[in-house]
Amino acid sequence: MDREQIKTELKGIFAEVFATPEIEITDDLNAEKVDRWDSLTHLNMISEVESFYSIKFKLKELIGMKNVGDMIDLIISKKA
Amino acid sequence: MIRSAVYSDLEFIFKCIIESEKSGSNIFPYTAILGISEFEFKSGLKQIFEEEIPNQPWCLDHWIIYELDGCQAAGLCYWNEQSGMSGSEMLKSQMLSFQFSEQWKSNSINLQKVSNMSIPRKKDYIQLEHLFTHTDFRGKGLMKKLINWVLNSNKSRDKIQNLEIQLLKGNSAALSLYEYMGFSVESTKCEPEVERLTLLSSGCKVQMIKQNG
Repeated sequence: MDREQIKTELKGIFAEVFATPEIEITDDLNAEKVDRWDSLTHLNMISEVESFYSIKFKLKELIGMKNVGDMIDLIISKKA
Repeated sequence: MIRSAVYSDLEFIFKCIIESEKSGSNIFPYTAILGISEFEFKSGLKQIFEEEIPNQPWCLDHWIIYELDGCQAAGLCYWNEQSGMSGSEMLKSQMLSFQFSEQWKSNSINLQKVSNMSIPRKKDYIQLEHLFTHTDFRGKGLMKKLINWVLNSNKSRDKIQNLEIQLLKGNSAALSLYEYMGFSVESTKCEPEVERLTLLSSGCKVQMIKQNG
């Protein structure tokens, strides 16, 4: 899968979950940079991502994600 | 004797977690919020402890026990708070939602109410959580000794010396102990609906800090 394509798809998910239409998806984007990204919206976002890509993250994978770049790496590896 | 926790302390640690969450009341928040029994909670918690995920309270490495007369008399956990996706609240939410996914999804309204009381923990502050003294050993100053142990052990290890405790406002005995130990109230956040729906015993959360710079 192409990283840029994933970023475009994530932009749609993030914009809706975090109610931030203008959000820019970068590799270093994380919870500190988005006002509405808290522990609850984070889990909504994970659920939407899993559903969109028909994948399931393991707990260790979830805990290991430090930013969106890590998430994209995981999506690519799971869809390979 | 104050010592690091070992695997055989797990049952006592679960007691510390459950009793501290009840905060002196009969309301166990996870039963009220997620509709799970204490037994189900403990089963899920055991699996979470086995993952050994650091920087949050449900990790054996972060626990210390006060042992007196061969008994586990008191316990607490402490960790250095990280930020963003590694923050302890984020980690706990991920672990709970993973462990109790169906209940998590079906109780989103309750979770939102409790989330409205959430106070961001201060990055790089040592967090103290689940402080509990067994009823047979109260009035001996054990918790004070445990807190001082954390303070002194971190003083010698690095520069981080600031402590934070979050607790429910209704727990006046604990509040006054922490004030006596030099903690002061940094902020308070309330959500009256939480108390009305008996999700927690108090609708206000208090953040207390002790700066030792």
